[in-house]
Amino acid sequence: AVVSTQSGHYGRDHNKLCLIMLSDRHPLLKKRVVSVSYKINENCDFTKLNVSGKKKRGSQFMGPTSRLCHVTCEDGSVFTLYACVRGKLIEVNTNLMTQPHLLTSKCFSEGYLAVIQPKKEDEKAALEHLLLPDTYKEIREKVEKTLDLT
Amino acid sequence: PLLIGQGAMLPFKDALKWLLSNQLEGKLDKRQVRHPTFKDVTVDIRLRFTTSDLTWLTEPPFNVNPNELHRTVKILQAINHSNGTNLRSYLRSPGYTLITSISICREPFYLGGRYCKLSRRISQTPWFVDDDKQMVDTSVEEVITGPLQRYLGTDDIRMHASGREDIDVRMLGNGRPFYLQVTGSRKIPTATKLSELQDEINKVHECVTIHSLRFVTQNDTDQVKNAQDSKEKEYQCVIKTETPITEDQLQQLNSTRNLVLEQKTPLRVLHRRSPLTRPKTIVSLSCRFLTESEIRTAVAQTTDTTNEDFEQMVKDNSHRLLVAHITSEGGTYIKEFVHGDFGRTVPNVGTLLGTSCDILQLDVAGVSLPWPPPSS
Repeated sequence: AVVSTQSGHYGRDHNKLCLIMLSDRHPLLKKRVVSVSYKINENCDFTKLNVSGKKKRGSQFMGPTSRLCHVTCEDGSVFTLYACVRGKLIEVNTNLMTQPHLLTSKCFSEGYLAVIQPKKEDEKAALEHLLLPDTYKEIREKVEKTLDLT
Repeated sequence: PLLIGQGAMLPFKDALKWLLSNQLEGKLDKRQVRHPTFKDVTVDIRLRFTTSDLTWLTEPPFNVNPNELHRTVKILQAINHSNGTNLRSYLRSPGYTLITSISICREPFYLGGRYCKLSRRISQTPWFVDDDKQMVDTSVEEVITGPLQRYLGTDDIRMHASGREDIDVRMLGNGRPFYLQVTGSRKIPTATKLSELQDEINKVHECVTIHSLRFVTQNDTDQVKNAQDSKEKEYQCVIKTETPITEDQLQQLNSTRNLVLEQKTPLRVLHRRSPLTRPKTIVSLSCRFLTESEIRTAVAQTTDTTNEDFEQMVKDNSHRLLVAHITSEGGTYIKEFVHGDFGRTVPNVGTLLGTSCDILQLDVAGVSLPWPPPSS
């Protein structure tokens, strides 16, 4: 997945919330999504998150490789999507439960996966290793040329 | 020490109090003292006796034992036993230092008014990042409290308004109600002076104006905060749609009455607010297309009118730019109602029109709270 950060009014990063979305090169985009489930295992269902207060009590702490959700496609294949950012999981997109197709049709808007708030101390570090969309495109193109993929 | 008059003994403290109170009262400005906010004047007097020559008590007719000069009881006994003696002739004035301080305690008083903000680059309250970097040139609060603080010489003026608008949103119409809590003011302005102060405030910044500045009571101020989430507010905004809209769709939109939205806390404020879903009502909606000349002016702001693509841009934008007048419940996030906030505010203008929408400009057209109350 690719992470997009939310900016404040004047393009300055006061907000620092991360909106987790599907990468525009993810194989899922070529498939038809049938269902999205935020239930990782018996004890962990992110739709049951009850987050309250400014300090976001009740949120789930996630690491870059924490599992976020399972996506099932028409052809039976199942994909696991990951958090990619270290921080507090504040919200998952419950609209995906009722309209799973949004994940592929509106992956950069209504089809977002989750909202993660990086820890204050982590803010800079958490976002540093991420790439700006243009840089990501450049690198992606280089990799694809080398491997001769399209 | 005691003051002895016609056979009566008065505690020194009381005598001093009585003497001074009358004199003090005479010196105070009657108008200030009678004002409802006046609480009290505290005069703190400390008399520190530096020398205490009491050796005369050891001699006749008192004959106090030198070892017992520190015992008040023994001195009193000696004085009582020598009744008839003219004590005054024996008394020596002790050395002393006088430390005084006067503090005037005044209840806070309240001023109410309404403000208009015509700029998209001024915040309502001062905005600092990391406690030192000021993000905007000035704020409505600073414009209003500046002249007042200078004239009143106060400790503190706090501004409370009925709701807020974003920096890039103008406050028009009858203005937003606010009140000021003034603590420790050195002066009480007269009605005329208040009017002068209002004029002075209006000269500070061309984009911030206030009106109806007058005294209000503490009870009155509750109305301002209570109205925040309940009273209706009117807005006007410019909406841009991704695909052109038909007249029918416009009519459909305009027939919206009391539409209930489910608004999740907008992403742009989620980092500092509680995640909640709030039901909010859009009371009414009234939209029209931007006229062709308005579109030309808008497009001209982004590109040169002689540009060959100009006409194409004007054509592309016709039936995609709307001016909307919205009346909604207090506390509704209008920007999110228009663009949908990634589907976290539903329904939204996007779902109502079946296309993505963005909000280009927003103004608050009015706040329907009668304020300030007429002065008594």
